[in-house]
Amino acid sequence: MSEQAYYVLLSLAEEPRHGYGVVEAVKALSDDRVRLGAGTLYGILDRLVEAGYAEASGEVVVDGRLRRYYRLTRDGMAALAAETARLTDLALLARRVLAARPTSRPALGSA
Amino acid sequence: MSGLDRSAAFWLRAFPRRWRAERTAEVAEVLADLAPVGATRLDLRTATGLVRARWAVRWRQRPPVGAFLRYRLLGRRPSRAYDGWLRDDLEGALYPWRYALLLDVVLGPLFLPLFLLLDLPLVPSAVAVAAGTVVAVVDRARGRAGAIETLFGSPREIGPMRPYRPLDR
Repeated sequence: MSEQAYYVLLSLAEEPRHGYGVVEAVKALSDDRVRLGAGTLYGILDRLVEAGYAEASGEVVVDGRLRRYYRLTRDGMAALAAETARLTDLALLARRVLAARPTSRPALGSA
Repeated sequence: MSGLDRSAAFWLRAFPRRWRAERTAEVAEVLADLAPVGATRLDLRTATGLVRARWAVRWRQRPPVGAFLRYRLLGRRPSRAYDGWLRDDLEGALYPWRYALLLDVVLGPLFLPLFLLLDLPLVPSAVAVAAGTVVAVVDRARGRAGAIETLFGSPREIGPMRPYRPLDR
């Protein structure tokens, strides 16, 4: 799962959101680091809907503008939990490797 | 319609017809929300992102290479799972060109050694290939409706017209 897709799932885990809401939530969750364009956003949403991880939950017209809301499905929540566990394990492994690393490396090739 | 709406509509035309029917209004609103205040057209990054997403949509829905080549070259129908893609392909404006150019790509390497062996002059050979491509394009453009009918069947018969009978009698 790409980082962007993970953020989109995370944003939908909080509450159902419309497209622009997802973009704003991802920006906030990533401290302004991940900015989704419309093409990327709908590519991810299409894939999540096809995989059964998200679904359209309703449409609202505000000031003549169509807002289609998306929500996470049970499978989506399970996929998010599984990916989070995988990332946690990966971070733990990385910490162990970095902690076991000697503070100063001997020069290679010295007699 | 504002300049931004026109620009969004232009770039969204790249997507398959089915996708557009379902998503255009929604995506256009998001594009309007994301655009800087006063923007009159989509910026290059957004337009590039839409084009990339369009290719991703088409690529994801495409049948496997074998099924694709059997369909394109031999007219064999891919499985029902690819009906959406098949309809988009047949109804797309560039369908005749996609068909003809693939023929060029497949048949080109087969005929190239023959051209070289017979030492045929380059310009007449290129003209012959171009003419063949145009013939294939015209043939597909004329045969499009027939192909749709062959692959999807004719529209359902709704039965004979009966005499008009007003509802208030």
